[in-house]
Amino acid sequence: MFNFFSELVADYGLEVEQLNSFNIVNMSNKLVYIEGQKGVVKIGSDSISIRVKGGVIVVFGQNLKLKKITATTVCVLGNIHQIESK
Amino acid sequence: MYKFTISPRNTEKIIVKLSAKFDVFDVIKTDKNVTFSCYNKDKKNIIKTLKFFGYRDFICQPVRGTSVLNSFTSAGIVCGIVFCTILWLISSFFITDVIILGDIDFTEQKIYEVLNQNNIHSFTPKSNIDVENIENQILNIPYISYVSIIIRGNALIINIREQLTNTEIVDSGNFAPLVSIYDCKITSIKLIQGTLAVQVGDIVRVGDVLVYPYTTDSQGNTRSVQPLANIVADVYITSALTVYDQKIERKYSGNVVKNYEISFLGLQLFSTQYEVSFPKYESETYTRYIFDTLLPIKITYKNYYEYTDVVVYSNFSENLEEYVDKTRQTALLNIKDYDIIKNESHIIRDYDGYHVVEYSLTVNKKIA
Repeated sequence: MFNFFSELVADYGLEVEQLNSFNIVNMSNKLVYIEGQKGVVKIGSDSISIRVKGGVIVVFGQNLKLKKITATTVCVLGNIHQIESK
Repeated sequence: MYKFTISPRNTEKIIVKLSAKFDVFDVIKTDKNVTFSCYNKDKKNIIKTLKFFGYRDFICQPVRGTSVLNSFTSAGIVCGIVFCTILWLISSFFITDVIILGDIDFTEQKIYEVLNQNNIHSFTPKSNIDVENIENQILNIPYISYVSIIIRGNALIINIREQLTNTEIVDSGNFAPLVSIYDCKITSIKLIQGTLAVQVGDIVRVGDVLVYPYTTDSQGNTRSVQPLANIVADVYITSALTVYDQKIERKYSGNVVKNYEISFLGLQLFSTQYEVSFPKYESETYTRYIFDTLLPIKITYKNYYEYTDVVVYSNFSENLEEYVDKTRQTALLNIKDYDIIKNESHIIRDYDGYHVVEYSLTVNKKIA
């Protein structure tokens, strides 16, 4: 099955071991898709924090909500202003 | 989809716990509560998990506008669909209805007899129906010239056409003409064989010939045939009641004088001779043997009953409705339960000293 991230790794000749923490896709500041989540730290309408391997990703914005959360992925919807990786 | 509303404590923890096992959607946290959605299949387990983590006051409700496909995850609906499909499949192997089409006058009952002989009824398996064989059997019924049987869906459709008897062939004796047994007005005629003596609109009386028992062939020869026709007419059923202004009625006073006479072989042995002083009386005489077998001794009773003649006056106009109703009831006795009354009327004729109420019912019925 086609995987966008796997294709990137293959195309750019990167080492998989170094890139296996998490992946983020931001679509027009309306939707953020995070792959490799390890848990939700905080949920709020103006910020959502997601724990990933080696840190926390904080999504800032307005009217934020977790559109979908599965065992490894998170999809955040709303007016996204900023994404921080700590 | 189901939407859960829970209290906003340890939100992140419970969401993490849930998302580790289930797909969780639309997580929104406010100051008052946290809402999220899940698939139908995960509902029960999520409720268990929430209870396990001490959430007692959560709300779980179905999400409006959930995809129709999601509703198929409900076991009841799936079972229902499967059950209905099985029923439909099973029923498709049977016929549930027998439809007879065509202009049938004489043969319908015989067609049903043929069907019964072949054990064809509701829920007969289609595989048990030998259409060709049934067609041949029905064709053997007199007066049937054409038959076609098909199975369409769950119905056995029998298309019948009755034959008109070829009158030139039938010449098998003398037949009586078809006569009317009613006073009526003809409303429709369907001649099967014979020669018509009446037309639509004719008024016929009891005994008038409707169809003559012969026909004329193409050579001009008259042939004797059994007259057959379907004739429908407006039948007039009437009844009349005569009411007298005054009439004499006999009233018995109850006074009786009884005499008897005992005789043996015609010889009078004993008799009573009480005097009858009634101005008007009726007498009654009867004889019987005193002993049944031994001696022929007879006793003859003679009874005299007193009566007086009383003049009874009737007020016709006051009791008119009662007389009309009584006449109507008499007329109704002459119609069948299934006859349709088209019209009813009554006429009152006044004569010197008496009145006649005539009631007329018009019934449309098959007279031949």
